[in-house]
Formats: sequence, structure tokens, C-alpha cells
Amino acid sequence: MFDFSTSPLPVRPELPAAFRHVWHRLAAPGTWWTGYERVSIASLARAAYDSGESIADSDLPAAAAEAVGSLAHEPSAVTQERIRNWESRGLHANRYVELVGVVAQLTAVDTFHRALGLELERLPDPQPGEPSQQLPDTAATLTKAWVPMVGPPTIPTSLSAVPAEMAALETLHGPMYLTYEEMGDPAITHGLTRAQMELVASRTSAINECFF
Amino acid sequence: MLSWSSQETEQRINLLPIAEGSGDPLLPGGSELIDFVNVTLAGNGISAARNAVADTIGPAAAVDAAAVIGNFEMMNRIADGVGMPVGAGTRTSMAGIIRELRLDGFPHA
Repeated sequence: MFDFSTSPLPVRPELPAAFRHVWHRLAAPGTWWTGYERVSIASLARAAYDSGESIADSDLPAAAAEAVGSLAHEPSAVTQERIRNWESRGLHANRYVELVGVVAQLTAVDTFHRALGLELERLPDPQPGEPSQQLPDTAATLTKAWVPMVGPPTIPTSLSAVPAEMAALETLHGPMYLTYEEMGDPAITHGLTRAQMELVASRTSAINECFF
Repeated sequence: MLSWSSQETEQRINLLPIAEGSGDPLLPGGSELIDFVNVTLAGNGISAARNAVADTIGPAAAVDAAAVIGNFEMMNRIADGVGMPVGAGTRTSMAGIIRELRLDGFPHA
């Protein structure tokens, strides 16, 4: 799994290590979705990204399938009204937050492969078991963001209503970009200088019409 | 973050190519990096753009660029998906950049 020996360019080992961790988590029961459902979310997200449109045919409930499609191929079209609509049709806020995490992580890993011209990794086989339903130690509340968070809404608290997804996000964020500690260093350089990293990040966000 | 890192390192930079998708950002390999992002998200012509980055600033830079694109495809979906608000303080401190990069036209701005 995530064997980059045929990559046209050498891939540093922390990347496949992070990807394997994410794949392992993707297959396992999550906080509010089973392993089967999580892999279904990932499969639907991949299909929607590839086709550029939402896919109606899915094992997931209709509201969840709509949310996955929108997040995968047109995230800027997600609105507070749509989230409330999905919620009114049974997609509870915590389940939605976990779904956002799964789609986002899948997209990160797949985009890396596409950029390097590599075949996408086969999705993992789902593992049996029930969701943990683990709540954060401090209750998540709804403030200025559209979903509940623990504390003020910031990127590091974005998925805090579902702590396991927040941890998974950090697993990828460090190897693929910078750890939160490294982000304080304006001169940090890996393969790219910090300014080059931010140029790539900014152009990606501009195409996605995302403020952040 | 780009503006901040370039100020801290006294690196002059042209932000316009970020909004326009082409041009010289005044960074080594900058034009090639902009093009690599463009084609990766468009889904065609990736191989040539990736090779241009690798030839200009090295293979490790091309791999890191692929990783950063992937990371921000992830972060953008999270920010948009949770409706991350932009605070008044951020708007004030970033007013010039918001104008230059035309961020106010974005749906979630």
C-alpha cells in the first residue's frame, strides 16, 4: 500500500506513512459512521471529484450523498442553508463533520497522486465494528461557524466536534505542508522555500475560491 | 501567510499571478509552480507542468508542491464545509491583500 517505488520523482517516507495511517482509519469504524459507510463516503467522493458532478447512486442516505458530492467537486457551493437542509433530512451535525473530514482527507491523498501522475490507491476494505460515538471532552457549541466546534472557530478547531477527525487532519497536515509549530517559521525550507509553499497554497485556494 | 513570510524574509513578491493564474510572482520557479497548480486542479497537462517544476527548482520541490496542493485541497474543503468565518480583525489587517487577490468575490469571504 502506497508503494512509491515507481514514482517518477522520489517521495519522502513520511508521506506514505501518513497516507497509510489515514487509509487504516478510513477503513475502521469512525465516531459516527461505520467502516463500511466511511469507505462508501470516500468512494462517492472520488467518483464525484472525477466526474465533476454529484453521484445520485449510492449506499449512503440521500442527504449524506449530496453533501459528499458537493464537498468533493464544488466545496465553495456549500452554504449554511444547505447544511441545515441536510440536517433536517437526518444528517446530524456530528455525522456531517466526520463526513467533511473523510472527504477532505481522501481528496488530499488523491490529489497528491494525480499531481505526481500516479495511479490512485485502491480504497481499503471496510473493517467491522460500531462507531465509537465519542464526544469531545469539552462540549462543541455553535457560534459563528456553521457547525459546532470546541472553542472559537479557527482552522485548528474546525473538526473539533469529532476529535478523531481533527487528529487525522493533523496526521496529514504536517507531512504534506507544515506542522502547526513549523508554521511559525517564515524561513522554513524543505523541498520548497516557505514563500514557494505559500504561493502554491494561495493559488490552490484561489482556484477553489476559498478565502483561507 | 505568503505576504507574511515574504515580509519576514525580505523577499519581494508579486501577488497578482495568484489571482490571475499566470505571470511571474518573482520567486524562483514561481511561474512553473502556478502552472503546476493550475493543471493539477484542471486535470490535464500535469506531466509537463510537473517536469517543468522539477527541471527548474528540483525533484524534491515538485514532490513538495504536489503535497502542498493536496493539503490545500483538503483544507479548502474543511474551511468551506464548516463555514469558517473570517473575523473583522483579519479583514482589517488583510484589507490590502483581500483587495489585491479579489478575495471578497469568493462565496465564503
